Amino acid sequence: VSGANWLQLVSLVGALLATAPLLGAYLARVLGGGASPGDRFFLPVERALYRVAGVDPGREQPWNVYALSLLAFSAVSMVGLYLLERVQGALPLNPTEVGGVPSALAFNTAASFVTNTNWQNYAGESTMSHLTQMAGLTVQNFVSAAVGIAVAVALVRGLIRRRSATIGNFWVDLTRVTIRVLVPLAAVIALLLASQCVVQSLRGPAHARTVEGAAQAIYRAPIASQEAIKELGTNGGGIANANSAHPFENPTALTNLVENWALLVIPFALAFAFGRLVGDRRQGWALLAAMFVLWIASAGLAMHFELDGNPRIDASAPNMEGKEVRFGAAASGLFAASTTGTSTGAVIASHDSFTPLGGAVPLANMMLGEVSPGGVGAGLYGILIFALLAVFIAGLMVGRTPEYLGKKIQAAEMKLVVLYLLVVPTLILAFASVSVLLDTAKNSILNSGAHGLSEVVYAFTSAANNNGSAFGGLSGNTDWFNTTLGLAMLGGRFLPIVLVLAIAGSLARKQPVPATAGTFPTGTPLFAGLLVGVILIMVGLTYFPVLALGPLLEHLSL
Amino acid sequence: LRASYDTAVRDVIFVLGALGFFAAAVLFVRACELVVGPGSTLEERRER
Repeated sequence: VSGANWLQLVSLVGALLATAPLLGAYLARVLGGGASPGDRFFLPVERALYRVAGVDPGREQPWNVYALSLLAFSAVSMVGLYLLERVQGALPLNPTEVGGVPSALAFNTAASFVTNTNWQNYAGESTMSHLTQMAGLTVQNFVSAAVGIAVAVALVRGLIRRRSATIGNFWVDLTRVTIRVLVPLAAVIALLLASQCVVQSLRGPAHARTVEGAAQAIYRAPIASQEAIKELGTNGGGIANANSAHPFENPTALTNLVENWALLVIPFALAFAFGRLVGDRRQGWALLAAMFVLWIASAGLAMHFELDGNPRIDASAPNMEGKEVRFGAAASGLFAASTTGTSTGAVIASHDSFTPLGGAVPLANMMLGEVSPGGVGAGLYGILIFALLAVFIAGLMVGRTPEYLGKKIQAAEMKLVVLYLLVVPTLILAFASVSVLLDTAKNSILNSGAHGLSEVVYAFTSAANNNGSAFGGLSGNTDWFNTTLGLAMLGGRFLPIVLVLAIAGSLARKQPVPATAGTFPTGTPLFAGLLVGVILIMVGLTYFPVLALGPLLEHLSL
Repeated sequence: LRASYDTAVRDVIFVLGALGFFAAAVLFVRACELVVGPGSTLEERRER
């Protein structure tokens, strides 16, 4: 690893260390209720929105009402986005004069953006109008991210409240996170990106003539404003088909650093916020340590495998197939680990062209359940579910009823935790299995053998974990894949969310028990280590067979 | 005409499919209530 490669990693970690604690402190103030910075400006805006929407911000919701509000909001969002895509041809801000999005693709895309996945079975340049990008997809990038954070904070309230029937108000959480966190941060990042020549334009294509004399249409769109929230909200859906590999989305090393930072900062900051919200910062540090270890290990592995190259081509050179020369192999590996460790899914290189083990890293990262450090909100509630499992296992070892932050973890919570852990793998493995058996589906797979299996498994892993990155090598724009990937995204997003909210409701009602000498301390390096072990063992037990038949077999056949 | 009809039918299928998923998710909420209880304000009041 050269000095320049180390510099990229060190600058990213440095930027995160400098900013995530500060953002975490701010998030804790915003999410904790009570006074928070910017009240003079934000409160009137929020009150106006509550008045228009008929929301009583002082009225809290029990878990089931919170869940039903979230589902109703998402259902309306999905149908609205579907209809916008279908009729965009007759609407303004359509300089490329694209027609309505075909129905199956519109379903897939609506499911994709409402679930914070941003899987894209289309090329933005030739499929979406500026209006759909701005009023449809970008709006969902904001609110789907806010939904994730709302669920995470509802679970935290469940852990810290005593004998409470309620876990907050969904509409208030959604509004506060959007207005106070996502919009201001995204505005700053958009301006920073635009200053680096990321395109921001409502015009149609610019027409140019090449040196050879051919006519060329150069695509223009409001990219900077979408790019900012695409990374910040761990969404990942690019305006351009090449995503963040496109020079109009990510032109320089600096924009690459900013985008890589933006997709990691909120998930890491939420761990800091967690420590503050529960009143014991060591609890936040333990979760943060587990997240960081998993992320940095996967980043190191991806960088190593891509720098090591492909021995069948040139053992002494990095693997540069499918990569941008201005980023190189190491930065591509680092970005791949970050984008799949979070639930972002933006890409600066083709994951399909990675070495077999290099490609296994983003795949395994998603299989971890998006907890390293995970999507905005989804990472925190995901790792908290693993924390409940870890204390349960620790409790089994010593024969005590497990506790987490003073709350007894009993049969009801464990049933829901186990269901949470089963939902996503079931969706992935069932849909992938059927897809490698059906001729209709097999026709979409561009490679044979182990690599072809990896392409299908990657697609459903990405969809059900709400990541959205594509391995490539799969023609997904068919009725089969548009529908099944859409269902995998919906199931992988909302069923776990309902389970998390049910756990939050169950925990909120409990009376905390005082810590005793027999209580397993959860704010320690030992607990962080146990947490990492539990996550890796769970993933190993669930996915090792399919990893062995896909990337591992491909590596051994090199 | 046939093409427009087919397009309309597909739209109905996908919109109803999306709403069907969310209806199933509502049932899933009800199923989870069986495990942990609803925790509704009304029920808590009745308990008290």
